Amino acid sequence: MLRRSAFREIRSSLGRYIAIIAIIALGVGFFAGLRVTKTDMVKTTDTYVREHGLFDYRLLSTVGYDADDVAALAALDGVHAAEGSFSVDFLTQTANGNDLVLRAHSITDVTNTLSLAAGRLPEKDNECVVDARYYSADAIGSTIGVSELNDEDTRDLFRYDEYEVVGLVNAVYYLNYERGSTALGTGSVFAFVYMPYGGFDVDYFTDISLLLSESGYIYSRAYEDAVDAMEESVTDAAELRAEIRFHKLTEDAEKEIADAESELADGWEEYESERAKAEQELADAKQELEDGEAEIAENEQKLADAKAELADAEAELADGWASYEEGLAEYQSQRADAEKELSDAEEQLLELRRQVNDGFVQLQGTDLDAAEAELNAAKAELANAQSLYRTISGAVSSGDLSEAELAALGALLAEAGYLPGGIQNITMQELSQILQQMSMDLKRAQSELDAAEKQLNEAKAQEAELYRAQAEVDRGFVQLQEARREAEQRFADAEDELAAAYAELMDGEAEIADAARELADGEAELADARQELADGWREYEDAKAEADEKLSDAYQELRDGEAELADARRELADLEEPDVYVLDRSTNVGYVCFESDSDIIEAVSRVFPAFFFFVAALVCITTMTRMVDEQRTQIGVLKALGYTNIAIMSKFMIYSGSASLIGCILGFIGGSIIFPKVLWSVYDIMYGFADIILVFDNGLAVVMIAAFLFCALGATWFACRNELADVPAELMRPKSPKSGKRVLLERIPLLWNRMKFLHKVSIRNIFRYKKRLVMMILGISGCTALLITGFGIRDSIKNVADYQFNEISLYDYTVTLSEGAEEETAERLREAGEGTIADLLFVHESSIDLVGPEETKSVNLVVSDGNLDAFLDLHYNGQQIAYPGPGEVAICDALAERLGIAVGDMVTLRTSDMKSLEVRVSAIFQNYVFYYVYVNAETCEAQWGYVPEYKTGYVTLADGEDVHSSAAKVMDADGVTAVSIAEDLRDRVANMMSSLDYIVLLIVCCAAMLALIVLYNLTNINITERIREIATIKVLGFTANETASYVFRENILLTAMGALVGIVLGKLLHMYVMNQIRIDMISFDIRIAPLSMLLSLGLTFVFTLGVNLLMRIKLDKVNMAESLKSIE
Amino acid sequence: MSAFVEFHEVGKTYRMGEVKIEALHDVSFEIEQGEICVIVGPSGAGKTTLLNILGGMDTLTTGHVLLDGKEISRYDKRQLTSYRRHEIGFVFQFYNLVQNLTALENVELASQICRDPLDAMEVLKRVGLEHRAANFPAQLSGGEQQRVAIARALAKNPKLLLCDEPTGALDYVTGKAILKLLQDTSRQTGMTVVIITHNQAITAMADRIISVKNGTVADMRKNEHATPVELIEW
Repeated sequence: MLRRSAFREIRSSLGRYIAIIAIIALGVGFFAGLRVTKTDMVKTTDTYVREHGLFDYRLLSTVGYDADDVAALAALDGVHAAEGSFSVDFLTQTANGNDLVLRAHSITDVTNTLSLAAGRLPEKDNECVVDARYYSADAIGSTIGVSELNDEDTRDLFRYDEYEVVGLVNAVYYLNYERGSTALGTGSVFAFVYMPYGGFDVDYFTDISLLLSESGYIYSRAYEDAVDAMEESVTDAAELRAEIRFHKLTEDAEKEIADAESELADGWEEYESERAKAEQELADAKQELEDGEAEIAENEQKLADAKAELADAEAELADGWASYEEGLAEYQSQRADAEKELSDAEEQLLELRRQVNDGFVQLQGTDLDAAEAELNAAKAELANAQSLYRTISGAVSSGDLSEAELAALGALLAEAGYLPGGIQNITMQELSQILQQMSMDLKRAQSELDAAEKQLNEAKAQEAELYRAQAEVDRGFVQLQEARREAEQRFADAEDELAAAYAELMDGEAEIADAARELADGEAELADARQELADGWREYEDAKAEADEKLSDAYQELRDGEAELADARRELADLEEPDVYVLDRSTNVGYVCFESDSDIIEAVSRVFPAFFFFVAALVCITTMTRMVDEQRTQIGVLKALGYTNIAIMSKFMIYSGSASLIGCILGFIGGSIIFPKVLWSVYDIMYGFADIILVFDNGLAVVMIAAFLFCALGATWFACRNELADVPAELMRPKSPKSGKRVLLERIPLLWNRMKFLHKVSIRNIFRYKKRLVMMILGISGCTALLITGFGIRDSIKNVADYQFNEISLYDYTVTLSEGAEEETAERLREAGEGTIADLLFVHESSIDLVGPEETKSVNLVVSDGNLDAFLDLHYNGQQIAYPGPGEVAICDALAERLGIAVGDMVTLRTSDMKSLEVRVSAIFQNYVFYYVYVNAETCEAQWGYVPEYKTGYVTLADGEDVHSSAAKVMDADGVTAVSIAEDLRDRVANMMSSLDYIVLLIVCCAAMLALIVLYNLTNINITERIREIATIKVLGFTANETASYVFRENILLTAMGALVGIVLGKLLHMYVMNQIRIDMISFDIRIAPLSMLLSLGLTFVFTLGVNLLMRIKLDKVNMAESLKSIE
Repeated sequence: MSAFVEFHEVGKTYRMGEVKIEALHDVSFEIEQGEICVIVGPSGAGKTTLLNILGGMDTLTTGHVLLDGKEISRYDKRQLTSYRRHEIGFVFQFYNLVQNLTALENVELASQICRDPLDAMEVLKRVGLEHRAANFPAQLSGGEQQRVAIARALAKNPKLLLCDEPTGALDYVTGKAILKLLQDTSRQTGMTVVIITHNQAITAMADRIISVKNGTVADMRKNEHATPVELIEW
């Protein structure tokens, strides 16, 4: 019956029940989670270490070991396995030209084995697997080369020049991110490489790893005891084997020296004979060349003579050509003159002929013979006419003539044409007239005839003349013909003459050309001969040089051999008893760091969980007390009915007990899973070799369940006992309400009177319920403190890289040189940087061990002359720190703290080859990333006698220059092996740190849950406790908002108070946590940003308001009728 | 002039899952302004439901309720709050004083929120408790606490004073003193006072008596000769 009542109670107040479960789960989860995380981490590591056979002992000796030694050690009592391995550091060049130091190990089967992360294990000797932490899967298939920069001894250790990467591995030997220091390069090993033993060209091992038969859980006392127990026998065996090996080596060396000596003697002999032979050969060759030279000289003379002759011939020919030209010209002009003359003569003749012909043409018109005949006819006619005339005239003169006579006369006349009218009777008168006319005609015809006769005579003379001229012209033509023929003859002769001369000259030309060709041929031949000779000489010189070089090399070799032999002899003589190092796991950095890092979790788990536990217990107690109070009447009734106290109590016990149990179980399981997983993911930054193994600490579970059951049941019992002590009658009466009280503030009327009435109510209410006040403040301040811590951790860690690279390291990048910097190096780099470099300084940077009182830490040593101001800002709490002087050292604060070193202490710095510097600490400076110590160059000079090479350059950029382009330019400069950009480093560190955000998130979530649960619980109690009051003020007419603020104002005030306390708590908690979290090499700046502070406060209020909003629903549901009920 | 308070055929049904419970049905009555009205009836008769409805703490299912001509039965939640705030003064059986406030502050709690409050100290003086003003409720006797509660109701200067079994938790003498205070207040200020009780004897002091039985009004009568409280005996 009562049990049913208990379950019904749970159902009716499910919110409260769940709240109790939640707070208990949170408390238990936090506690168990953090507690178990370290166990989980160590367990994970133990399993990993066991599976992969991390050495229990690692043996090193200055003389190495061989297979016999390994077998002997394996046979040792208490040794489970022994395995030899080889390792060496070497330089390799990356694709982008950086030189990196890698550590090569031989792959072993039993000890220090590998776990494959990607790809496969090597199958051939020229294959290797690389560090999964520093290589990505892209590297598979690429090759790793043994750089030429390695010294010969190192290169000789490798069988191949290149090894193909076939897989990525994690090695148990390297548990964390550190890869150790080295004498090479920048002084630190970049990553490891594992390859088959056959990949090395060696016949010995550098170390032997031992696994003991009896060991124990890592970091346990049992383990340490087991290891200590074996120390003596292992050390003895190791020393013995080293001794044996030493003797073997000595013998071998002696034999080798003897062999070498005889070899050397042979070498000398051979050298001498070879030298003689070579010299003879050279002398012969030289003679031959000199002969050749003489011959060439002779031929050269001949050629010169021929050349002179040719020149003469050429000159003669030129003269010949000149006179030929002259003759030709003369001939041509004479011929032209003659031709002109002839043609002129011809012209004249032609003119004459033309005149003659013209004369003939003129004469042709008057036929001279006809003209003569005509003339003769005319003379006859005239004679007739004259005879007539005289007849007539005679007739007439004889006077009167008869008519017959007259007719006879008339007929005569008509016949002569004088009578146009025919034969008429003519009168004497007419006759006289005709006679007269006839006389006149006769006279005229006579004169005409005379003129014609004269003209004819003239023409006859002319014709004669023409014939004469014609004959003359003909004679002229003949003469001309003659002359022409003569001239032609003369010209032909001259031409013949010229042609002969020309032919002669052409022959001369041809002859000369032939001679010139011959000459050229001769010259070419000569040049060839000369070339041949020169080649011969060169060959001779080469041969000589070669022979010289070979000889000198051989000589040098022999000398070297001698020196080596001497060295070997000296070495043999000097050879000391071997040193043996027997190392246990405490020398393995990863192994040791893991222990201290996992201790951090434990340290943190000491504070937080206790706090949560406390709050959870308080909440549980308050809630149960309240619940018992609420059920007072019921208790009274039950008691009146005769139930025993125990029976009544059991109802409440079931309620609180079941809530505790469920909360514990949920919290335990959840915490044991979530916390280790989240924290392991953070540790993954440094370790991350395997997945976390979850452990459930049942003992812890039992203890916690017991503790919570005790708290819950105890509180229930205590509350019930108070109630049950009363008699039933009293119980059934309402409990007299708790009296109101004035608070301290009321005694300050100045303040109190000014407050608003409702605020006064709230304040009085706050102080009325002391228990609630305390819990509220605890819960809220816890929430704020957690938030501040969470955000503060983030602030302190997130900005470490920024602080380091913005406030301390002021340079933009560093340059690593292959050789120590010389005077002109800076100038060279500046030129390479093309004006991007503002300032440049060279220092020495290397890894060195700082020997502390308890611990030895590997640190970064910087040696400089001390003028670093532009590149480094060494300060402590804002105070500038001077660069250490001679015999002094400045060390970083984290290191000082870790090793317990103070200013004024003497410390020892030791290099990997055991050289030491004894220095006094002059100052401690703030530094966040890596450990740094600064030493003056004079210190090294004084203690070592030299200053280590300055191979590192700090570079600052000119304003506005791009760091990457500048770095790329400088990278190309000669002698630069690597450039490391501060910005990149900063980003890398910042990225690493950002993983810690998970922790912060976890803390914020926890804080939120804490605040929500506490607030919800207390507000819930507050409302149920005051339900009548709330109903009453609702009846009084308070609006929903007024009612809410009447109730929740208290929450807000309490939140404000809690938050204020939380700020103080948070700062303390943050400081504590930060002191516990010490990640090796990185120190944190303990600071909380104002924004984080505000954010923490803001979130706290947001949680409060969230709960208020949630509870408002409940508040609105409060029925006013409650006010009418009697007090229960 | 219509009545100050009017109930017209008011019904109220509660629903408890499948079961319907009829708390009131067909309730009709009127109360005049300035009257002292006693609603009397046995336990479970529906007195408290009636009071809840009149006090604006609950809604009705059917019918109309009017106060001073305003139909409060149609008010929504917000209007009801304002109605309780400004129109009604409430006196509870168990006083319902805020334990954490002094007598004066309890009065102020009410006067804080209304439009036209009386001076808290004045009211306290009126109920004769000026000397106890700075005391917390736990330091007061039951009668004194109830007087503070009355003062708290009066300080709001309400139109209607509702009293739920004001003497229920008090002894005879103190109860009488409280009733006297209520009667005096009504007479002196003309305040309408509604007293709910199961005590028939108290009806004598009323101007109007409403008997409630089985969720309805069994009888309503005016009492022209209200007896002064001092003369009532029970």
